[in-house]
Amino acid sequence: MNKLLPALVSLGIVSLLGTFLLTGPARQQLFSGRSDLGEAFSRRDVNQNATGKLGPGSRNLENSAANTVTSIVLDYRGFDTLGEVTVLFAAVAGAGLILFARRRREGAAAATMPSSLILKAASPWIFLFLFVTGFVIILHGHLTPGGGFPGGAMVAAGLVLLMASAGHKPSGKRIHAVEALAGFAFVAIGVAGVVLRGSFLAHFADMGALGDFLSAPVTILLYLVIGLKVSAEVTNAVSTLEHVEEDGGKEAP
Amino acid sequence: MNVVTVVTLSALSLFAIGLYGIWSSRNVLRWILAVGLMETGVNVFLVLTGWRPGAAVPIITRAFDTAQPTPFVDPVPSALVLTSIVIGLGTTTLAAALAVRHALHHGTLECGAEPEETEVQE
Amino acid sequence: MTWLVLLVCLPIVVGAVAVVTLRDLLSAIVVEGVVSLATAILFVFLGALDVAITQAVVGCGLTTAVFLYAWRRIPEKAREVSHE
Repeated sequence: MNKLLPALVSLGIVSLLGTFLLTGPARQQLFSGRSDLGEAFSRRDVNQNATGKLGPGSRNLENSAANTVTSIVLDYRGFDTLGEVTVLFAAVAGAGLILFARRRREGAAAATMPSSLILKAASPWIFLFLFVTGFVIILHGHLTPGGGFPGGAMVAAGLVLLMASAGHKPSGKRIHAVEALAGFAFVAIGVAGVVLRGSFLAHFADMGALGDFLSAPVTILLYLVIGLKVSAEVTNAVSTLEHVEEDGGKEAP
Repeated sequence: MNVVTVVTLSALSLFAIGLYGIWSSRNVLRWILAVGLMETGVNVFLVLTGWRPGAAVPIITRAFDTAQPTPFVDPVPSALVLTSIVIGLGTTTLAAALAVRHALHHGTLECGAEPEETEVQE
Repeated sequence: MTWLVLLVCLPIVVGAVAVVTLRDLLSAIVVEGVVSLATAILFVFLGALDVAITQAVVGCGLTTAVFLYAWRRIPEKAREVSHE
C-alpha cells in the first residue's frame, strides 16, 4: 500500500489546521478563555431560586444538582440524552442482528476456553469492586463526577468479567427485560414532566438542599434508569460477541 | 508553548494519525482502531474549548459559597463529549460485529483490494 | 501545568503512531487502550472530570474488551496482516 501520500496528507492537515486554529481570529473565538456559561454558573445567574442564592444548602433551585454537567445533561439538554440512549440501543441491536447467534440448547457445550487460574481467583473480588463502585457512581451522579453512563459501563464491565471467568452467558431474557423497562421508564419520566410541569423531561419534584444525597430526585431517577439501561445493553452486546456461531458466515442473507 | 497549543496539536495529530491509519491500510480491524483514534482526537479538542486557565471543576462544593466567583470550566462541551464517547462505544461494537462477520465470511480481514489479489471463499 | 500536559500528550501521540503501524493487531488493540487512558488523564487536567471517568471506563475498559472478544471470534488464518 502506498504510504507516502497518506503521510503527506496527514502532515498537511496537522500543519494547516494547526496554524488556522492557533493564530488569528479563530484563536480569539475558540480559546479566548471566556466561557459565558461557565461565568453564568459561577456568578450564580443560572440555576438559582427566587432569592438568587446558589450554594451548598440552597433549596428550591431550578435544578438542585451540585454537578453542573449533570444538570446540563439531564435537565437543560435532557432530550439529547434521550437521543443518545436511543442511538446506543440501535447500535447494540444492530450488532446483535449482524451476528444472529442462533439460540443454543441449554447445556450444549459452549465453545469457550477454560479460564486460567488468575482469572478464576481474582474475578470475584474485582467483580465485587466494579459492581459496587459502578452503582455508587450511578447513584451519586448529581454530586460527584460520573453518573449513569460511566457507572453503567462499570457495572457492565463487572458482569463481563464474571461472564469471562465463569464461562456462562447471563440470561438473555432478563437482560432484555431490564433494558426495555429502563428505556420505557425514561420516557415515562419525561411524560410525567409533561403532565405535571408542562414540558417533556421537566423536573417535576424537588426535595432536599443542594449538596445532599437526597436532592434532585428526578436526576437520581433518570441516572438510575440510564445506568441500568447502559449496563444491560453493553452486557448484551458483549455476550452476543462472545457466542456467535462458528458457521454463521455460510448462511449470510 | 501554552496548554492550548499543546493540546490542540495533539488533538489534530490524533485525527491525522487516525486518517493515515485508515488510508494506508486494508485491514478492517485497523480501520476500526484508526476511526477510534479520530474520535478521541475530536473529543479532546471539544473538551479543550471549554477550558480556561485557572478554572475550577464545574461542581458546586462548600468552597463555592464563600469564595470569590472563580471561573468555572464550561460544562456544555463536557456534556457533548460525554454523549460522544458513549455513542463511540456503540458504533465500535457495531463495527467489531461487522469485522467478525467479514472475517468469518471471507476468511481474511483484508478488504478493498483488487479482485485478483484476494481469494474470496464462498 | 504546561509541562504536565506535555508529559501526558507525549504517550498519546506516540501510542497513536504505534496503533497504526504495529503489525500485530493484538498489540495495537492494547495500545489503543493505553491511548484512551492517557487521554482520560488529559481530560482531568482540562477540568472535565465526568468526561475523564467516562473515557477511562469506556475507552480503556469496554472498548478493549469488545475488541478482544471480536479477536477471539476471528479465525486464526484471518489474523495476520499480509499486505502492509
